[in-house]
Amino acid sequence: MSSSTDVTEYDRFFTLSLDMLCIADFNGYFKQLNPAWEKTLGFTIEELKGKGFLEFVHPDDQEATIAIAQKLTTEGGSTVSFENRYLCKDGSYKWLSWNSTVSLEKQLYYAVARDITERKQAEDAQREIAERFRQLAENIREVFWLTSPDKNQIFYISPGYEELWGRTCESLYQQPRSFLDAIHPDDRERVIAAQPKQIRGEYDEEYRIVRPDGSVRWVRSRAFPIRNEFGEVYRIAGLSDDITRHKQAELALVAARELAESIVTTIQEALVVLDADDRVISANRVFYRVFRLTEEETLGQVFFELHQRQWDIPVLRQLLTEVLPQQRKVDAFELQHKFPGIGSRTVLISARLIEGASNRSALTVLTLLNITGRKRLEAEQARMIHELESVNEELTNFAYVVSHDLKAPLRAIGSLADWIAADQQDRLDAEGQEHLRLLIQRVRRMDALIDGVLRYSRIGRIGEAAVEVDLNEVLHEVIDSLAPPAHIAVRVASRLPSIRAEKTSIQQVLQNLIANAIRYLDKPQGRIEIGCADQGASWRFSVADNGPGIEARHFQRIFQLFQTLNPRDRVESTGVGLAIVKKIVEQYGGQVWVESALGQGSTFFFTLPKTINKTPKGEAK
Amino acid sequence: MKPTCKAILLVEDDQVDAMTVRRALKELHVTNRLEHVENGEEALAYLRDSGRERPCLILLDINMPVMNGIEFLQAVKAAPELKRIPVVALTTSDEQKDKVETFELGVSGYMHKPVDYRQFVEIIRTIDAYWTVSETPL
Repeated sequence: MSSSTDVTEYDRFFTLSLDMLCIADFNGYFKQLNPAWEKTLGFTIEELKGKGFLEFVHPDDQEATIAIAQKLTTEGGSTVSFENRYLCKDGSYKWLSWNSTVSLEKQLYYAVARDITERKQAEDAQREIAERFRQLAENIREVFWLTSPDKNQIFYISPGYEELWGRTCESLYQQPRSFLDAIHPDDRERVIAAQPKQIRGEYDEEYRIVRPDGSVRWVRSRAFPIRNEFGEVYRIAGLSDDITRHKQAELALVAARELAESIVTTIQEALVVLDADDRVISANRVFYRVFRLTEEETLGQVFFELHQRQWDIPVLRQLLTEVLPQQRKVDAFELQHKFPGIGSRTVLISARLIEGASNRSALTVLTLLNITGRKRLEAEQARMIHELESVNEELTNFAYVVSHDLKAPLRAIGSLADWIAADQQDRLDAEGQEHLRLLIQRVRRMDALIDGVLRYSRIGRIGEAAVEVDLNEVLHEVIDSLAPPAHIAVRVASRLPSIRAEKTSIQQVLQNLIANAIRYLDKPQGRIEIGCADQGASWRFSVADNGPGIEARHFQRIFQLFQTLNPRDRVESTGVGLAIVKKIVEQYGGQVWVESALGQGSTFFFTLPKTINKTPKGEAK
Repeated sequence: MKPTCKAILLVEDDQVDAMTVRRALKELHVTNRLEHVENGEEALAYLRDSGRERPCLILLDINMPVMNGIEFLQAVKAAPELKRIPVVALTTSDEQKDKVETFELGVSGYMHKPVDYRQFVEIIRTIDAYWTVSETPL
C-alpha cells in the first residue's frame, strides 16, 4: 500500500474479503479492519479500531499470541496458520487461524484471519468420538479389531484379545496373522479358508482357541468390510466373542437330544407323542413296525383314527381322555384287543402327560409294548408249572404208595418165608432151606431199594431250614457214625469252611461218599483223605481213597439211580448213594464228578457255591 | 405186659401183619390176650362195647380201610373214657408227616414195622418190656 491510487483499489478488496483482514501497529493496536470482523465477532469496526488486539484474545491463548507477535517484530518474516481464540461481542469465543506478516520499516502487522470455529468443533467432536470408541473397545469383553483387507496389518486390536486369546495385543501388532496360530488344529484350516468372506461381509465363524495354558475357548468371529470414498474395501472391522458357555450349553443340548433320540429308537416299546388334539407328532420305528403303519400314514393324524380307526378302542379312549388328564400318568395298563388288521394283541400301555413349555400345549407320551407273545408264554409257563406240580404231587403219592402198598406185601413174604424156614425145618432138605434163605435175602434187598427210592424222592421235597453249618463238625460226626475199621485211616487234609445249608443234606453227601470209600476199600492199609479248596466263588471238596478205582467209562453211570458196578451178592448196594449225592449237590448249584484210574484209587469231587440261593421246595407236604 | 392188664387190642387190616404180632407175642411168652380188629371203626365198636374188657394197650396200624389210624386216634382222644388207654402206632410209614400227626394225637410210641421178622420180634420185645415196667393209670 505504497501509492494512493493503489489504496483505493486495495480498499475495495479490503472491504470485499470474506476473511478478516487487519493492520496493527507494533504496540498491538488495531489500525485498520475490514467489515468481515463485524460479521464474525459482532463488534463494529469502530469498537475495535484503536483497541489493543490482545484484549480480545482468549486468556489461555495470550501467551502464545504474544510470543508469535514478538517473534515477528524482532525477526520479521511471516507466520502461517497460527490459531487462537477471539472474543465475540456476545461473550463467546471464536477460533481464528492467522496468516501474518510484518513491515519492520513501517512497524506494522498485516494479518488475515479466518473463522475456523466450525472446523475446530468438528475436530473436538471427532476426538470425543474417538475417545468414546477407545473407552468402549477397551472395556467390552468382546474383541474388536481393525485390519487391512489382506490381514497383513493390524490397525487396532482391543485389549479383550489378551483375555480371550491369552496373547498380548503387542504380539498381534508385531505379527498380524499370529491370531491364527492359537486356533484349534481341527478348526484352523476352515477358519483360514473362510478369511476371503471377510471382504464380502459374509464372515461368521465359530472356532476353538487353545490358550497358552492349554484351556480351550469357543469363539464366534464376525467381520465387516469398510469402504473408502471410492467404494473400495480398505479395512476390515471385526468382532470376536467368547461363546464357550453358550457352545457348551449347545453341545450339552445336542448330547441330550442324541441321548433322547437313541433311547426312543432303541427301546422295545412302541412310542408315540400326541399333541393336545391327540394328533401324532412323532413315533419311533418300533411303533411303525409293530403296528404296520408308515410315517406318512401316521404323522399329523388323530391317533384314534389311525389304521381305519383300529385304535378307536373305548377303554383306550377313556384312558387317554379321562384318566390321563386327571392322574397325569398311566403305568402298565394291560389292553387286550382284537385288531381287525393285525389280529388279537395284548398291549401294555404307559402314558405321561407332559406340560408344554410356555407357548406349547400339553403333550402325551404314549408307550405301547406288545406283550402278546409274552402273555402266551406266561400262560404256557403257568400251564407247565401246574403240570409239574401235579407230577410232583403224583411223585409224592407214589412215594407214599411205595412205602405202604409195596412194603406191606413184601413184609408178609419175608415173615412167611421166615416162618416156613423155622416151622418146616425138619421137612425141608438143604436145597429148600437155601432157597428160602435166598428168598429172605431178596426181600431185604427189595426193602432197601424201596427205602432208597424214598430217600431219593424225599430230597428237595421235604424242606429244612438253611443254617450256618460248620463242616468240620459235620465231618467229625459223619466219620464217628461210620466208625471206619482199624485198617482204614481217615484224614482231613485241610480245615473246612462253614457254609449256609440244610444240615441233613450236607451230612448225607459226606456220609455217602465216605461210606462208599470205606465199603469198597480193598487194601490192607486203607487211606481216605477229605480236602477242600477255595475256588473264589465256590468251595471244592474232595474225598480221595486208595481203593480199587473206577474205569473212566463208568464215570457217568455211577451217579445214576440204581447203578452199581458190583454184583449185588458180592457187595450189598442199592445204587442210590451217589445218585442222592448228585441230586443234593446240584440242588445247591454245585457239581459232582469223579477222577479215578483202575487200581489207583478214586477221588470224588463236589463243589458248593459260597452263596447258596436254594429255595426250599416248601415244607413237608 | 403186666398180668393185671388182660387184653391187648391190635388194630390191623393186614392178615400176615396180625399173624406176625401174634406169633411174636407167643414167642416172647406174653400171656395177655390179643384181641384183633381190622380197622378203626371195629376198634371203636370194641372199645364202646360195655360187655368187653378195656385193653391195657392198643397196637395201631395207621394205613387201614374204612377208618384209618389217624381218624381212630381222633375219636379215641376225644372220648374222655378212652383217651387214657396207651396207643402205640405200629406202621409201615416212615413219613415225617405221619409221625408228627400221630404224636399230636397223643400216641405213646411210634414203631416202624421192619421187613425182617426177627427185627419185628425185637420190636415187640421192647414194647412188652416197656409196658411191663411202666405204670399205667388203668
